[in-house]
Amino acid sequence: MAKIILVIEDDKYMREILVEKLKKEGYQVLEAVDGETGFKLTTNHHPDLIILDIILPVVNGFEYLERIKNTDASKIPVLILSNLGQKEDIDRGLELGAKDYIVKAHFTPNDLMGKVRALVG
Amino acid sequence: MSRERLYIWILAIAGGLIFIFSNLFWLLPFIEDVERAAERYQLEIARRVSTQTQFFLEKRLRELSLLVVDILEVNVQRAAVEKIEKKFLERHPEFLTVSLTPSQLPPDQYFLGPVERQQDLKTILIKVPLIYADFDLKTVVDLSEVVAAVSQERIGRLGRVRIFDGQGNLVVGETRELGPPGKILTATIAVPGLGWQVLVEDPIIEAHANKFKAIRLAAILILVGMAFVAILVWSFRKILMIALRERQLHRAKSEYLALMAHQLRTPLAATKWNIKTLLDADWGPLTKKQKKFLERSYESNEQMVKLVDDLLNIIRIEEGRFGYKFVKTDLAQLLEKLVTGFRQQAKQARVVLFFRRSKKPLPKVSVDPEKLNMALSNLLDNAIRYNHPQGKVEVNLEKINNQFRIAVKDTGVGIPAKQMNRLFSKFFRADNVVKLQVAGFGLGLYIVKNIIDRHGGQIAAESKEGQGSIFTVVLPLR
Repeated sequence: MAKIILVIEDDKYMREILVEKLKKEGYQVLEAVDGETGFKLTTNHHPDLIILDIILPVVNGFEYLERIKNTDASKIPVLILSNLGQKEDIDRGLELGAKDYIVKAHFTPNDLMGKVRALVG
Repeated sequence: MSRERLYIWILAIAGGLIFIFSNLFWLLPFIEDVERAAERYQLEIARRVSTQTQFFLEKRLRELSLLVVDILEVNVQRAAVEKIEKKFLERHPEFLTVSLTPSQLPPDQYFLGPVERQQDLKTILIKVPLIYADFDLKTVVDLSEVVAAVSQERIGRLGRVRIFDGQGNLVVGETRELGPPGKILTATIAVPGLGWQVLVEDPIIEAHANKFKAIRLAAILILVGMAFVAILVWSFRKILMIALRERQLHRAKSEYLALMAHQLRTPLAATKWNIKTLLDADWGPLTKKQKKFLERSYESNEQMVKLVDDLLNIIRIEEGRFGYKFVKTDLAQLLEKLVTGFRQQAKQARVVLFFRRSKKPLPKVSVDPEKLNMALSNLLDNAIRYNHPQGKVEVNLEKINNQFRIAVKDTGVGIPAKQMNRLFSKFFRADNVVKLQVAGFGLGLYIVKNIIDRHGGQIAAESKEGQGSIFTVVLPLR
């Protein structure tokens, strides 16, 4: 059965690329535009991997991570994919339990796919 | 905000007080102006005090005049001499005896009285004018001497006594002025039965004035001090407000720039990912031409990404929050990895890339690997980008005594000699590379120098225009 990946990303273009690319790689993809929707999808569908943006409407990425911390969803690997590239942001993301932190402008879609494969197989 | 304002006021007041106490001598030139005002104030006080004094003065004057009257009333008859003696002794118990005898002048006009003091028995001559029948006070009475004789003590207290007759002519006393008008209190009283005026002048105000000098000085100091403290507090506050505003502006600027940089990154990242998936043929194969032009777009976009990164880095460097983390690092390994990462770019630019290091194992050194990597990347990127096809780039690592020396040598366009001194300043781009239209923003070397400085190292450049450059980074072994 195809692995489920949840993409929480507010930028429409970026989300479309991610979804297309992941589908092409054979994953089943769920989409959320904000942290709130993302959290609901997480608890309802229990995906195998979460790709998370930080600057999000309603509930931002850091808040999302804090929310899932004390649920069974905390075992799901999270890959942060953000435009925030400062050391403080990266450290904070990893501290909150993310497996990896990717700065969008510094990585390519193939870099991301490599990391996705490494995390969900 | 309000707390900051409160702190500013406290700081300003403290600063003002410290300034005042450490610079009291500053006030002296200003005292003269205030002195005039203070003088008026002091005279006013003196006048009020003297109203009271006038009362006492008049009382004393009445006593004096009674005495004068007593003397004047002395009978010119020989029999009256005893009365004078008696009266004199009554008033002056310190005298043992007093006797009045005629002087050498016509005995019918004057008596001379030798007076003996009780204690030392010295003789004091008191000339007492006496008049026989038909006496005319105006012509014969020398009252100044009478007064002086009978009330030395009182005279001492009163300053000066003048006596005028009914027509205002001076009968007794000096006419010399004692001091500036207004400073001497005067009182007059009529001597009953004669129509004479006794005028007593009391230098009382002068005495008061002297007393008030201290008060005046204190008042001046307090007034001037207060004025100065006020001025200083105000200026200190102003200065601190400016500093606070400056800080707030700076903070706002940084936040704005950081936000701007982030906002710029968002579309750049989307563009990058879109183009990259096209180039990776995710959405189907491209023709050679399509690929060529897309690659150009991708390159331009990458340069924009780098510019935004550089701007963000500069903001953080200038704010002093670049966040250095020093760890013991194997420099050879770091450089090896870095050079490997640049192989692709070198190949594309048709530049040969070498890495040379001594065979001996090198000790680890405390650096921030991420930042150092950023700095050396900049140098390598420049060396490749500003090179010629078939050019060479050589990276050299060696340990000399207690220093590591990393040299990046290229065969590129070089740097004009007269522009070498501006090499590490922000936004500097040499004339020759501007002409070549090689992309760049002149931020790289500024960042590099900052990073190397922060490592306690040095960076130097040697260059010959058209032949190439060598950038040497020296890091201390620590």
